[in-house]
Amino acid sequence: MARDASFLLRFAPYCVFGCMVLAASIVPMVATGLPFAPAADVIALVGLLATARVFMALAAMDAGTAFGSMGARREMLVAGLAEPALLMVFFMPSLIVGSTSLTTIVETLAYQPFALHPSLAFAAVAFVMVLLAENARIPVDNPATHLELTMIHEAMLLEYSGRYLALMEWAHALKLMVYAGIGIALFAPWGVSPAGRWDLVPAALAALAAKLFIGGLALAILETVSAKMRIFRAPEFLGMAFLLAVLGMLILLLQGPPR
Amino acid sequence: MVFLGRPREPGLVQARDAGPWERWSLAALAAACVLLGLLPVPVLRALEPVAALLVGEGIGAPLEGGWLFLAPVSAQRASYSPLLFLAVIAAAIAGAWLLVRHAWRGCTRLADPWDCGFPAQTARMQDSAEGFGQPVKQIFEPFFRIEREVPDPFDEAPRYAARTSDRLWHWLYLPVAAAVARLSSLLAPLQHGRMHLYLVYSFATLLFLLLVIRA
Repeated sequence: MARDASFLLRFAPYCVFGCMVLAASIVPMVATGLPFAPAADVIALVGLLATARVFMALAAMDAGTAFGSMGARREMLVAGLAEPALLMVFFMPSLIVGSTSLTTIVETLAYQPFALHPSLAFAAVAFVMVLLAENARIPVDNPATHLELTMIHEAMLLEYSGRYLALMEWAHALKLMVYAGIGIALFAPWGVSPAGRWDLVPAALAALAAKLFIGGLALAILETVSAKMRIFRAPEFLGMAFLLAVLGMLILLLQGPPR
Repeated sequence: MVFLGRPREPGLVQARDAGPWERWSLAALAAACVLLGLLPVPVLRALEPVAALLVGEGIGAPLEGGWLFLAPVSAQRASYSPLLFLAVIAAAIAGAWLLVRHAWRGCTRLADPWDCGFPAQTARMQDSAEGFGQPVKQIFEPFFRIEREVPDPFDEAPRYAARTSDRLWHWLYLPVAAAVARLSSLLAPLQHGRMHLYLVYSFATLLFLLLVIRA
């Protein structure tokens, strides 16, 4: 650990990890009716992710090194641009279902007769773009890089080692999982077991594994075929995500109220 | 970033932290924010009569869910419980801490910051608030009028200056202000305190009023 760092550097990994654990316990991936789900809806979920990010940036600046603050600065830039797009994406299913609670969204979308929502397609594309940006994936950031001038997320973790680094990496993996879970919950909620049906949980687990496998494959392909952008191209990328989300919203409003 | 910085100018070495009484006011405001975030329902209940007075209708439904949950329309549509939220985060943090303690019983070695192996750290290398906000400013540059003086990279004593102002200010407000100033400077001779000018002024007004009444 850095010698002149304050307690923030030690505290931040636990805080980030705690936030991610709570986020993961809110997102209905296998079953709805989760114990903590009523505590927060998707908007609070966005706030939760933002809290984790703020602590990460604070910890990055805490050691007082140039790279740490550079990473924090870039992370805040990307986050500030990604968050409106993410909220827009969340508003769309909320408008369709009439609720911002993830449980209600999943229950409605999964168990109602199949309906085609063109606006959800726009939202899904926008969500994938936000997912790539927020999880430090390739077009925006490279999770494996330690090249000084390009790193964002890794620059914030430079001063960490040992258990703290492990916690941070674990939290980062959880974050990707949470995002994948949100994506699945919003855009492919079939097979999630309803509240209180324990007999359906194994099938739901299998469905989740299959969906995550497909998602991971798609992510790998997407990362392989795309090159990393300059940092100042990221605003265009995220602006496009925001625009797509707004377009989806407009289509939804043009369609009229949900039947 | 005053937050964790080292002095960049020699005069700032003697700077000291604010005393407890100076911090107290900010701490109280911060604590009020936290309290408002944790217990929104009692605050909303206290505010409800005001809303009822102004709008003619109370908030009603959100406050019926008990003091723990805030549900703007109904619990089905959206609900939020900050206390439960905080409790779970705290539990997760404590759990993670205990787990790590249990699994790994070593002590932490303190060393110089790694910083990608770069040994020399001077106060010039740390971020200032300007540096932290620079990317955002660069992105939204078309919307602002930014005048910059950027130093040469090899300059030993570099000087950086940037002035940011709103374009609308120059397009919209300053022309109006200039027009008002010009008009008032035209009218200024009326107010030099000459009696006959005032008399002519009153006379013209009277004539005008008489004309209006006639018509």
